[in-house]
Amino acid sequence: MSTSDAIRTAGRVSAAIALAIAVTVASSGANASPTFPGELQDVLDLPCAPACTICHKDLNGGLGTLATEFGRNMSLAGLLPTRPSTVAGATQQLEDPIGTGFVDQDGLPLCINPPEGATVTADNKCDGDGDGVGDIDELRAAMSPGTADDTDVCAGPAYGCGARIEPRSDLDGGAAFFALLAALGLFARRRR
Amino acid sequence: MRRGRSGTHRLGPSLLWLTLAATLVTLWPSSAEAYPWMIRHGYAKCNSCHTDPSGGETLNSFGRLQADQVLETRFGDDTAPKKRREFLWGAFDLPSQLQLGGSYRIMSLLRVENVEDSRVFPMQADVYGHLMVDGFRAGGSLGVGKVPAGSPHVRPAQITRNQGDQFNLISRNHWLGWQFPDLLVRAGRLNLPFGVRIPEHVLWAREATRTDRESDQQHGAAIAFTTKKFRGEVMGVAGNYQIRPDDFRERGYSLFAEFLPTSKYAVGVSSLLTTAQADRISLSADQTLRHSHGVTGRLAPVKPLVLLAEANALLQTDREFGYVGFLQADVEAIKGLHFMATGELLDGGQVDGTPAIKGAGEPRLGGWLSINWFFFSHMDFRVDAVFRQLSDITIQSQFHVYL
Repeated sequence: MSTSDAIRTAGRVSAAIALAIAVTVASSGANASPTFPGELQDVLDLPCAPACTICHKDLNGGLGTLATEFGRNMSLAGLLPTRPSTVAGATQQLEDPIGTGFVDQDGLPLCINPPEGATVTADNKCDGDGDGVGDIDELRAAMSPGTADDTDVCAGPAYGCGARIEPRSDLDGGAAFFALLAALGLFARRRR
Repeated sequence: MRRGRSGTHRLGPSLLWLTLAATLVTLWPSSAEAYPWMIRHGYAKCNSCHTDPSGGETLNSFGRLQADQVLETRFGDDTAPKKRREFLWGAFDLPSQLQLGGSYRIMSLLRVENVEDSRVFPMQADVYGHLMVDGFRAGGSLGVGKVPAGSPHVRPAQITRNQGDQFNLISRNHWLGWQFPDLLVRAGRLNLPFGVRIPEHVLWAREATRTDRESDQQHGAAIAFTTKKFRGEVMGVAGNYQIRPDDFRERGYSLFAEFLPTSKYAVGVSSLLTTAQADRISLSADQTLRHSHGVTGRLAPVKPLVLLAEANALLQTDREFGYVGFLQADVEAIKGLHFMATGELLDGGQVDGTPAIKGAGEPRLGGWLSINWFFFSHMDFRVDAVFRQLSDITIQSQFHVYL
């Protein structure tokens, strides 16, 4: 293969890869689902996405790894595994169990009776760690509802060693579509 | 089709269709890097093909030759242009002292019982390189990554400091070293020498020991040796300086040694011990001592079949004794097409003060059924059906291009 052939081949390969990337980006926006910490941050307008350990035993999360009463309460209140969309409803139930009907047959908040005997606050808000502050109020104050020692849910390791890039919006479908068009155009031009 | 250009002329459209087909299949429903099953071809020593003595990432020129000759399916064409195996399909020549490479990988993750939560995401977009001038050697990778806040993946390799779900610049490894006869001494951010260097980075054996090549690398210094019957690497771990504060940096050692009685059989031992003032994964603020010790085996009893095995003991502060292991059978049915079955077992040890659950106090079982097809030069497509206790069944599809 001559050098010019090699360059042409590399060009086509590059165009094909660009096309694959564009198609992938275009579809990932449609299929991506938010995660539980991100959903909690959005629903409660928190300063950070809380660490998975407010519910789970470690950052790997996963089914069967709930390790706090707050996590169990959220599950009891309707949070479903792999369904971040159920976060909003569950937080409402924990914040106002009586008003939302999250009660047993005696009209008592259901969050009183998980296996470890969680409790409620004086104004009937679910309080998994029993420190007298409702779980959701604690989260809004960026404190962990999973432990009574007022751990900062935004504490933990920070990552990176250099510049910080300012947040920007993700690629939207339109941008991805134009990327796809550009890749197709590049390929068509190479073919000519 | 015109004369004189037929070779490359045919290549373009077929390449496009192959790329499109693989991409579309990926969208509808985890490299040439560190394939321990290459032992079936008699390549038991990783440095035969990789610039990293323990395998992974950048291929040397012999590695590219082997990738071209033994890794990929050939469609009746045994006379592929020599240039094709080179960096960027031979688009330009590199000096012999410099090797460049890269990896782009997209993945779709389909949850069988919860299809609407399925996702497609770019899993890897890295370029890497290696320079060797006399005894001096330097290597590294640079890429981009994007994961949700709180994810244990990608984060530890960040260079830029976005903590949310924005894109970040990442470097999984970067090092300087000196090559002696049979010995490589290097320092930098390195893959931890431990266990079988498999590409399945979420396999429990890699996750529980925190020794995957996805982002578990640490800064430190290492000595790697390769002789006729032995190979191994010992690393002093100084901590990951892409994590802060210092409390979360683990310090200690990691080592791996393997005995190769023949080119088709290998048995090894691994050991790792680290301590940190706080734990990055459990976020425990207590000093955490973590260690793992285990054995590995790789054997190719007949050419189409390779068996890979690993078993490790897990010990960690505030936990009971645990263990993790896997057994994988890889059958290369036809050249370039692999069928794999993997069984895995995990009991990370019961966490003090919490009830025993599967995977933490009780054994948890998992299984993978996988197909990996190296369908074209520098490209492969892989599908894994993953069955794990306490988890949804997932179908993971990935399309991979390496430069």
